[in-house]
Amino acid sequence: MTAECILVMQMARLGDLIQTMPLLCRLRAIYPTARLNVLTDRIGEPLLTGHPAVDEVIPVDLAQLSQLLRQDSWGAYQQIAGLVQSLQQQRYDLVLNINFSSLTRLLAYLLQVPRVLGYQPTADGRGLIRSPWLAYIYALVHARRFNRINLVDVFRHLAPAAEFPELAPVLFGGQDQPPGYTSTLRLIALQLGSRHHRRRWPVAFYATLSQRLIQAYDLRLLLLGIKDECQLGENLLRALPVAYRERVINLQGRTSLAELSDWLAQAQLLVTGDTGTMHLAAYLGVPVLALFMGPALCFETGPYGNGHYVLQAEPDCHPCAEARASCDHAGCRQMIRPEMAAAVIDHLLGGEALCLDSAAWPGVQLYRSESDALGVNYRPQLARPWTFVNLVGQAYRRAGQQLLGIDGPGLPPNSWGYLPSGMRREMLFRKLEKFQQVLRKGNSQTAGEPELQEALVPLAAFQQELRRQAQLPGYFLPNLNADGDQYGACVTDFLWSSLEGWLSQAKGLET
Amino acid sequence: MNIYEKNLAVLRKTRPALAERLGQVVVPPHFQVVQARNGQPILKIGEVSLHSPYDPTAEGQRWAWAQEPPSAGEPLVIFGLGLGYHWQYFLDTADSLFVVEPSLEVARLALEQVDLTPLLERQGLRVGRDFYDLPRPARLLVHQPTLRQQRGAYRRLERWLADPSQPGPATADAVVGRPLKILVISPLYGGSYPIAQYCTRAFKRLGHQAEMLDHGPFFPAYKALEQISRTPQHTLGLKQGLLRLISEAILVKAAEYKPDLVWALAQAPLDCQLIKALQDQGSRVAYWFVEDFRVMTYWRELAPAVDAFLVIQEEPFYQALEKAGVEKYAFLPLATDPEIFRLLELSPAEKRRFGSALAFVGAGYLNRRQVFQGLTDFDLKIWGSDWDLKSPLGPYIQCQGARISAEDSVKIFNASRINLNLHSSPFHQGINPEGDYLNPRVFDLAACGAFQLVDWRGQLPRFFKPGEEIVTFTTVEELRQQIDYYLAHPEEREAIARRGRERVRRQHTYEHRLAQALQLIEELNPGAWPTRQPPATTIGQLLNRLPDDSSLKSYLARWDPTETVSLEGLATRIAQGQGKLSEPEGIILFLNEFRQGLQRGQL
Repeated sequence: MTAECILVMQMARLGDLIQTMPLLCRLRAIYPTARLNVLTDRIGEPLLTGHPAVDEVIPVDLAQLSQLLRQDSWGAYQQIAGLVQSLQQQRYDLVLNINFSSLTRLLAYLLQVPRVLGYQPTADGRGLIRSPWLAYIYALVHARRFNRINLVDVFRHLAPAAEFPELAPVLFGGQDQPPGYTSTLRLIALQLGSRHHRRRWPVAFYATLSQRLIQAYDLRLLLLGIKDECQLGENLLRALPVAYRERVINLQGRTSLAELSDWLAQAQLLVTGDTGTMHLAAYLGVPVLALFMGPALCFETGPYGNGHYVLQAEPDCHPCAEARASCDHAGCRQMIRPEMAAAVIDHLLGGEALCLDSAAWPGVQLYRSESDALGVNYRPQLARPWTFVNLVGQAYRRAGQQLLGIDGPGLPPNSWGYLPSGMRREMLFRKLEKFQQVLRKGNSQTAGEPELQEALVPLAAFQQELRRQAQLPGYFLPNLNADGDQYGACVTDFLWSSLEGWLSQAKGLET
Repeated sequence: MNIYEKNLAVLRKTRPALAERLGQVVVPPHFQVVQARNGQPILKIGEVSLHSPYDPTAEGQRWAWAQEPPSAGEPLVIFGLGLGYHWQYFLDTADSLFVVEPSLEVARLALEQVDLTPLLERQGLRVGRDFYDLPRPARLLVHQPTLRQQRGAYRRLERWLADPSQPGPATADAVVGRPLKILVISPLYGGSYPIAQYCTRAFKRLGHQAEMLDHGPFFPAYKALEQISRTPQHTLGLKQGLLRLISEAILVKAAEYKPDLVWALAQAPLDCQLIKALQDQGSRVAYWFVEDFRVMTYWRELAPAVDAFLVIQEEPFYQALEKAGVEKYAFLPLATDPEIFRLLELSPAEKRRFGSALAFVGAGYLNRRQVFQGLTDFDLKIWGSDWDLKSPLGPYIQCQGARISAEDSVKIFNASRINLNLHSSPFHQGINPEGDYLNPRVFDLAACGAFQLVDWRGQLPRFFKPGEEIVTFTTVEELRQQIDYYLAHPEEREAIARRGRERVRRQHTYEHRLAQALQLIEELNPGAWPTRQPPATTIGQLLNRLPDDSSLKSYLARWDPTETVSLEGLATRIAQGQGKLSEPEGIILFLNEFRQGLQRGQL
């Protein structure tokens, strides 16, 4: 595939834009001489301006457009017509639409370019076609417990695999020393707030952790966040002894995006929930200790790159849907104890050995990010027995990798845990074999086995989505109609053979 | 020339439109001018006094003294006119002084009582929302008693003055002009349950899209849980489990229906967590607390969480709310649904079955049991539940004390010569001398054209003219006298009932209330509603505005130029069509998606 002029459309939040950076680097590696432009919300512009992979940022002022639309919809029409016209003049030959959004889908249609990757408009512009890879991700989201694919990799693999090594993630921004900073300061940054309260670690825990860190290390704590989160910071400060409060630098609501990057880049570590700040830190190469709970699942949106740590609360019901009103296990926010976070930080800052006795971390798993052939995966640090969800989840990841035609090993099974013994082993084998039978024979005698039924959901959703798309007036993938069922069959085979490999390996271990 | 004429003469010269409006104001009876102890006039609204009842001048002086004065050249805006005791001291010191009074009635009474000419001559009086030409930024001082009466109006003014970037009144003043999507949350049972239904109907009649989430069907399950365990804690746990499930159902419903407004009635199964979740999903949550705040104290948890807490009592409830840190509250009294509560032609059989000289419909609260025992020598029928069939009232209780449907209530109201209305009170024996709010029965009875005798309530005069539209009593003796008198004077009875009915149909239906409620919610949360569509444009007008090379121009040219056109309308038409989208069609769909995304809060 050749391309001379490429447009990447990413109109979602800041965090999503940062998660798109590795895709941009990959595109640059594949098309070293092409013109590469990015269409994005004006808020994200500073993150991309001057980026070595990007030739031009085309900002769209969504805030201004929404204001205009309120007052004068026909004026807004003229504005969008102008945008479309100027984009058409660029004569793009490849567009990557990575937002699941009717907005970018319609824009992609209006540009009338020969090739769109990602979310593609149908030939009549009315419908949406997912590439098989996106259909697969869409299917996995139907049973999130089994999803093991990071969003950054979802984006990255929208571009064809590179024959050349990808650009190393470009460290960009954060080069300027922030005013008031002296290099003798040792900084740990805390991001207290989170978009959804159920993803947020209690402030009281942050306070306990802060106190512990100030006692143990000569350091300053940096409170990051937007203006709306100031209350959290004040609550934290109030919970600290007066003498300790001077050791906290509160930047909440006081930094522009560039200033935030500058400060963050000076930090030795960021402690955070699943937030945009986390993605920014990972992008800047700042080590992250992320605290994931509630709807947040590190496999999906964990910090990208090698060597980040995630404490993931893992009650039976995780990950939950964000739109639940009440929750019987609201305790998952309490499961990650401040001592656990402190132990990880002691390991990172003080070089202390981690106590990896899994009984000491009830309900919580500690993950460390590492790379494999598909992208970034999260390796559990506490030895726990394999579970059905674990194995099937990794099998789905592996099948995804094969769907993309990528060779190379994933994490070896013994890195996700160990073979349980006795009854639990029997039950695990029985369940896996049953799952395999269903895959092979296509019959679905799974009544009374909810976990098994759930494990089949993504497969069914994948096939169904491809069949739905086969009815649409195809546009960029004329052969999809014929291939829909084949893709389903392939994935089934991939799943089956991954599980088969592990099962025989496990049984080999047994004997 | 009296004070009023003198004021009006100046106002006619300086702000003629305002003079015109104030000249037409009819002041309702609950706005009163009374004398303070020192003989000066003060203004009372209902039971609330806007000034000290002892020495308003001294109080005004103290207030003025305590205010941070404006810096040189800074305009001064005072919220609350009152009778001028508080702001008059600034006439000399402030370079430019404006007094904003939200209520026409207060402004009118002040015009009658106080020489306002120094203020009027400098065009310093602004009434209602007429403040959008005030200079910004400005120092804003607040007359607290006015603030408590008009929280919403204050927020609007404050926001306007604080943010000079805020666009002109056309958008800042956006009254609900677009149909809203409203989700009404009913309780599981109780007096507010039917009100949820009436509200839903009224919202629809006001042109909004409304749906009620009916929790009535869950009530049997809720009751059934009481049979499971004898341990109260267990029962409580089970009930909480059910309520949690219901919360979840509400959230699912809201996620699908995407209401602009969630309208919850008292006792609806809502907690703070759910309210937060609903707000996070992009809905405003309003709660109509049709309860006595002294009896039901759960308002302390809910009121701070919602976007509007609407109450049927004023002081001292307002003070209690302020103390609890609640800012978004407003007064919204009960009303009636005139399609349910109506004049009815009854058959002779129905008249016999439902009729009597004296009737009461309602539950057997202690104070009612006591009072009605003194009426057993009349032709009395008592309808409703929670009565003791074995008490002396037993023979008068109809249908074995079964609950009475709304439809049957209407028949009873229509068939009875005198309908009793005694507000319930768990605190007082007999008649509550301090009762303030009106129950729905007052309005329902009046709407049926039924003659009622109601115990005196503090708020009554602001809704009805006592003696002309409604008859009241304060003691059992007085009640007996009224019964005797009105049984003997059927024409008077009918005339009073007719005037009462006209009054509610004119002013006290749920439609009146809810239209007001939507305004109050908007005032408490400026910009609460998705912006209304600009006034309809015709295709012809639009064609004139568009530049010649606009792709939209050629697209629209084939249509009838007199047809009105909106983005939404066009988008719907395009979405229903078939075939390849043209460029204008694609752009219109894009803009419409964007608009809907803004409403949802996510793109």
